[in-house]
Amino acid sequence: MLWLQLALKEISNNFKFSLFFVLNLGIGLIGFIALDSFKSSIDEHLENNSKSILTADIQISSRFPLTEQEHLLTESLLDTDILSTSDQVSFLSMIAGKENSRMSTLIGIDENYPQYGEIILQEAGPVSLSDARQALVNSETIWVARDLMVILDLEIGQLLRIGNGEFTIADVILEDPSNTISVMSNFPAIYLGLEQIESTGLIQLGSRITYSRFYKLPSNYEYDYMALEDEFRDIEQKVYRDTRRLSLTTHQEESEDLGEVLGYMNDYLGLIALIALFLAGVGAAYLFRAFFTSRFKDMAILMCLGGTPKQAYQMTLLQIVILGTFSAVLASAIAFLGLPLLPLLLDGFLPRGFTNGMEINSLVLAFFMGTFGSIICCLPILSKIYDLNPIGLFHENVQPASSASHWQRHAASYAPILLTFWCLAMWQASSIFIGTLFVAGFLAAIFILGAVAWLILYGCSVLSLDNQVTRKIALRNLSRNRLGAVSCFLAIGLGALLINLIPQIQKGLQGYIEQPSDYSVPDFFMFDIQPEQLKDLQTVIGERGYTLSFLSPMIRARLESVNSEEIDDPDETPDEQLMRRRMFNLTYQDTLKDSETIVEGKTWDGPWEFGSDELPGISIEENFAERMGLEVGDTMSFDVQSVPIEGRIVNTREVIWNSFQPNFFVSFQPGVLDPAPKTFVAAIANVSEEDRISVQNSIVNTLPNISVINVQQIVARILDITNQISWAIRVMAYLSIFAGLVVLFSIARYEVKSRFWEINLLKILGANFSDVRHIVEIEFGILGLFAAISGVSLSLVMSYSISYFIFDGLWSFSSGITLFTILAICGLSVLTALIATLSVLRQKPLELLRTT
Amino acid sequence: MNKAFINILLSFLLTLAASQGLAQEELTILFLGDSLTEGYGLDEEESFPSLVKEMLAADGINIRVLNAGISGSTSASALSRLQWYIRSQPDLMVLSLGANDGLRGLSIDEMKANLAETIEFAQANGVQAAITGMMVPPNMGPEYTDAFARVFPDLATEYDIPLMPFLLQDVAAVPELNQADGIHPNAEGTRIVATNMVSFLKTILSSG
Repeated sequence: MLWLQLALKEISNNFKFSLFFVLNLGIGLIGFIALDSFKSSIDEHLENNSKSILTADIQISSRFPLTEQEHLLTESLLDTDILSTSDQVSFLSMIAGKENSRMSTLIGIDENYPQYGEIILQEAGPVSLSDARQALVNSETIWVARDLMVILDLEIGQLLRIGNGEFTIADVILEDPSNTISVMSNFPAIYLGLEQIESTGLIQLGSRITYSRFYKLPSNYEYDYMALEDEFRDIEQKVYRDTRRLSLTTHQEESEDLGEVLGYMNDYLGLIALIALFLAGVGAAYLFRAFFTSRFKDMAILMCLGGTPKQAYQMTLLQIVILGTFSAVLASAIAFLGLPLLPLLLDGFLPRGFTNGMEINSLVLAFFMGTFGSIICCLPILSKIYDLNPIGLFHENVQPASSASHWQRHAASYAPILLTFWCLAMWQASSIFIGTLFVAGFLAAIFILGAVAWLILYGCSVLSLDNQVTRKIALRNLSRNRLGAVSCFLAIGLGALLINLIPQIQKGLQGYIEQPSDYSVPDFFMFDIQPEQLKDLQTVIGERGYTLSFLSPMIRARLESVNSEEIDDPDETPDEQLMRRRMFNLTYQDTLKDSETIVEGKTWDGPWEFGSDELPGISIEENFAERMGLEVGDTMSFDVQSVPIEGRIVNTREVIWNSFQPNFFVSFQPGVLDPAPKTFVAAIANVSEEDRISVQNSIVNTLPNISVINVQQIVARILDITNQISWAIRVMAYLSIFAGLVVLFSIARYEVKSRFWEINLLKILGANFSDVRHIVEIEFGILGLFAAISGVSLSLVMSYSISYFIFDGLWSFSSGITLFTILAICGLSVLTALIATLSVLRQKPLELLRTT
Repeated sequence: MNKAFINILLSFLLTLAASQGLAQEELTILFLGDSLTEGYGLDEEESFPSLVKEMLAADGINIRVLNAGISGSTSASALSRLQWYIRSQPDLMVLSLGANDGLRGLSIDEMKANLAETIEFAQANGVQAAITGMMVPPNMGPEYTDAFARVFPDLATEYDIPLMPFLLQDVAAVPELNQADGIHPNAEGTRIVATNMVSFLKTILSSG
């Protein structure tokens, strides 16, 4: 208790300084809480988006009615509270209107559907919580998709025959959460009550029905969906000796096209969290150390008065812990009030339904940094206290003497910091690999920056022989106070590294995720176009002012051998066997599409000539080549509908995933497959809203075998999510720059504050404002500029490595941001120092002597 | 009728066929179909056309098989594909298309017209045609299901060609005989399809 009183008294005696310390550390922690909370909010927002596509966390489905035993199995597998379940039965059926009929998806739902997302109806609006859903499941009514209403010329209130039953159309579906890319969902939906679907009489022996149960799980339930899938297959194998009876779908898988992007986003956010942590760590460590160093004099006095080094340490540490806690409380309070206001400030820029709240995790970490962080950050100094000699009181700067025997102890005192940050890094990134990689990179950066700092400061001492007084004083200041200058250089350099790291990664990621502006996004996909129908198809859509795009021939073939060896590997898993034995859809094309880029090899010049000695060229999609172990130069033999065709791989190509164009794993040089039986796939782009149904109907009526799929809604949904991800990546990059600059601002301010005594001395000795300003400008200019250049250079290396290991090498140099970071950091250091100097110069020397 | 007698009869017929210039030394059968013919999800040797060849060979009847099965194909592609295979001079075409038309809810009239012109083209080019019946699952609705199933016997009668009433006889809707998707026969199911097909072919051959 006595210690606490003493510590509090000491704090109140140095009230101005303590307040300054609390404010500076508080600013750093606010940056951390904001960045970390925002990261979590975005993470949650995207996750909810993906859950709303599946309408649940997890779905179990089967071709057979799900049994009680299967439900128990699933529940034991999930091993968590199940918030709710929703059962569904769905199948395809032909539905007849007044004059024509159309294949539709019948979906029988219960009152819990959908558990995430909402169905939007024309009359009842969103039905996530509405009575309309209750009415549907309890009566002989149905909801019909808008497209089907138009095609079959139906009206609300009308009776529609489905199988043996008759149902009243209660409402029209405008938006359906489950409308994703799958064959089922490409047929317009009709929703009806689960109980009523039996009365259609369409569920009988031989019917193709899908029975599903959707599970809603607690929001904090975390699982690795790949591992869950494996576990599920194991259990299924044991029960049925077969792994195909049940199918498990997680919400992550449902948005499969987004899977890779969501994966990148997840890693990116993990990285942001790490940056936030390290930024706060650098700021806090710097302030704690500086505070401790400034207290050496008090400690020496305490020891002079009979205190032990331990007591001196306890006394100062207690003060730091108290101040650290104050800072954390202050930062939490400001974040608590400020963060929910952020969406209001950014209204219009935020995605629909985005809410930003404070994360408990971020708060806990902020408190941890403020309290425990202070202890571990000061351990290296604690080790120095034992070397503290009260004789130092007679020196200008009280510094512990260093001896070789103490270096070991000193080095060991860094171990807890390293260990703590390593653990925190793995926790924040939710990955041992990323956490370790980051800490290793960070350590390397510290050593390199330290070495650069020593070199620069050594250079300063050489240059300080200059005759110009202010320059001489500035350079001498730097070289004389080398330890302090190095730690300041390190803090700014690491800050620069952390600030520039994210924008560098962001540019590469964004380039990958964003839809190139010159792409035309298809509205309709068509397949099963027969060669002789091409002309008619072009005429039909040409009459409405549209043209066919992405027209590609599709030829079915079976892969016979690779490099003249039959494909038969006894070690292959059943999945690999299926992949290899599966029939391929080949195509042939003159040139690459604009969504394709050659990764390795070269493209062909013109068509293959019949009778040529050379084998025809084959182009392979790069991921497919990797999966199949294929390389440029390999030969592949296909059985193309009873005709053997051999070709040589001449290139591997990358396909932009979100081009929404028909893409093929294997593409042949023209001149080989041209006469083979084939069908065509094609798309129509930029179809206006009012033309959509008429274009679709005209194709179906003229060429009924051609399947026309309206992908506009699906594409729009995917683009919407990718745009949100892209937005989040950009905002987080800006936020991390801002948070980094805030931390650097607090470091620079503190650094100047620690120079008060020197500045005051200069003033007393008769230096005028412009001299002092010049000295500060040179000192902080050198520190800021070189630290920023070194930090930014390291960030380029580190961001490239991170991109290589985590983001499949998606990296591109962002010169604008790099230059901005260097100038901003340098300017901020100088400006902050000058403002702080100005406040020192305004005070009377005597006052300054008192406070120093 | 015992097995030995059938073999003698078939050998006689084949010799007769060769002398009439319908085939070279062995009979060439073209199976024009979809994934059921292709052997979706199975090895090539497990597809029913390959099994038919093997089973007939075991009975001493050697045939050449052209497996013209393409997954997902509809009746619309039948004619152009037959035009490609006609170069291989098949003696008999077993037409097993239509299932995908049904599963996609395509026009039944259109499907019938496509199959009809394919049969006409085969007959005009000296290829004997046979057709296998198809069915769609009952969930498609009674009107569509009935109309669909009627197409195949109607065509058989119209063009006076042999009809195998249902390609997936004894296999459809039996979970143990089908793959996970519930529509494609597994290896065991395909063996039953092949056995039925062999009986059907023997009937055709025996009827001259």
